[in-house]
Amino acid sequence: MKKKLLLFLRTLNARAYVRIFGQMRELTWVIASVAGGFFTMGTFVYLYRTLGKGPEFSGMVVLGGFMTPFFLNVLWGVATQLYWEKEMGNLELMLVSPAPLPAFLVGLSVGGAIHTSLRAVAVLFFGIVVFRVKFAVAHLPQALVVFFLTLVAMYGLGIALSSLFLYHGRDAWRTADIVMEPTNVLSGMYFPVRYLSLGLAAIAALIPMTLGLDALRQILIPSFAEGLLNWRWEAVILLALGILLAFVGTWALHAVEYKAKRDARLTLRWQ
Amino acid sequence: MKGFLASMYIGLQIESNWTRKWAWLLYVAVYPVGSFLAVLILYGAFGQNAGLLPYALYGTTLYYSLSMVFFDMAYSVHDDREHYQTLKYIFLSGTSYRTYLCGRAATRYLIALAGIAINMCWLVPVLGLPFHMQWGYLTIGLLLGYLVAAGLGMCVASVFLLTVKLDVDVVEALFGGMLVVSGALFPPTALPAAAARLAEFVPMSSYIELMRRAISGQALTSFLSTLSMGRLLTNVAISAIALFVLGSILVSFGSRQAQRKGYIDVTTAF
Repeated sequence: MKKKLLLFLRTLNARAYVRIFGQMRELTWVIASVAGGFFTMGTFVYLYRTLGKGPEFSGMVVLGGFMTPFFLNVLWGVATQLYWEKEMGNLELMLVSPAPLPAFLVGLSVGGAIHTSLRAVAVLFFGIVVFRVKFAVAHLPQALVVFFLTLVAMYGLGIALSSLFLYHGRDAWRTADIVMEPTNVLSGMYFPVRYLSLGLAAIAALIPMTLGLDALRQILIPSFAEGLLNWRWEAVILLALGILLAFVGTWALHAVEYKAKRDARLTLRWQ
Repeated sequence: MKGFLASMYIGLQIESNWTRKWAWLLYVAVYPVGSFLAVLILYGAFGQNAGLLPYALYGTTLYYSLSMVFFDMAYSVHDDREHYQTLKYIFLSGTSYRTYLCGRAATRYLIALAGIAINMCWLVPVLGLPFHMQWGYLTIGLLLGYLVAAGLGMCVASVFLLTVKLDVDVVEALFGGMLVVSGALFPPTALPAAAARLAEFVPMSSYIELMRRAISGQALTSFLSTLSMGRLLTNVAISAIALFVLGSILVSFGSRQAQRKGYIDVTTAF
């Protein structure tokens, strides 16, 4: 048991190390991802100003801009990673090694969350400075707890989705491409999700970021009165989602790994 | 021409052969929805009185058609070199790399336009958007739009050819920057004075405004409204030719340098 745990932690550490330091190697990558997030945020801040909306909407957009890099990291950095490992020929090496596959994905998530945090904080900093947004920091510990729960649930979703990408190839890739923007929009990245109809809001609530972002807005923007549920309830749901997705992700990974081995799809490239 | 058509065919295969034809057609129709979904929700919820929905809707869909080409051209360098590892064979073939890129861009542009056309069939009647087509301007505008997007795409592709470590985040940052100042989503008059002035000279601004008027038959806001259609068309034509020539020169230079430096078949697995 101790050996297994050590192996899990070592694998986790090794994969997280690559994700954290590998992504820091190129300054252009860091600058470009911060600039991209900042410009998207700026677009929506000016859009709200065009529509004559108050500063609380700018704050809402800046928080959305802060969370966007995490969503993109979950989708393109975790969910699609096994597909990329397969395409590059690394997956077969990972599978014949004694290291457990879930440890790779947890390491990927931990590393991804850490390196994305630095970029997201940079986007938040520029958003606050350039658009002169003010947040209430009286409940910062609660905000941090909600943020942590959101990350756990989001990366749990990424791990669950990675098994789909492992089995399916370019079709899953294209599906991710097509759902990225609508998911981004429906999760209320740049507007209060309450403005969606009840049915759409219920569907959107299945995306952990929707509830996390809504809760963060309630905690950090005092004038934000368009919350979906009370943020405490949202935190509880996020915790439940995190646990559920961790189980679903682990189960799906084993099931799809077996199915992919049986159907000889683990080394099938460019399909 | 033969190489261009062959490249268009390759582009079509890459875009479509991952699934069945009916599913791909559905994909083409649904894909642009993501580009204007935020516009529908935001302007529907907050901007009904501002009357900017047609402006933003036409703007974002047109921006989408350009950005798809722009992104695809830049990404194809990375995709062919790293993923499919076929870039070296493209360079060995009789078709120039510039022709190959333009062929793929043409397919992407046509697919994006098809998606927009399908969605306009329901958006215009359902939302009651102003729709008075000026076919002459529209046809010429679409051709010039291809040159603008392909020119910009070639400029970025040349940079991608000369570096093996450039991430596509760079392209997304450029996209994001141009979306702010292109006036696609909101009139740039909301921007700080310097940025608003800059917006008038961004090639995409004139193109989007020209096409908006060619579709709706009217200027929808005060942005660039003092310019006649003829003047807008001239601006777009000058930008398109300048960008296409610049892109062609840069991609030829980039191709030569990449071959000399051995960047054609380098894989980094990032």
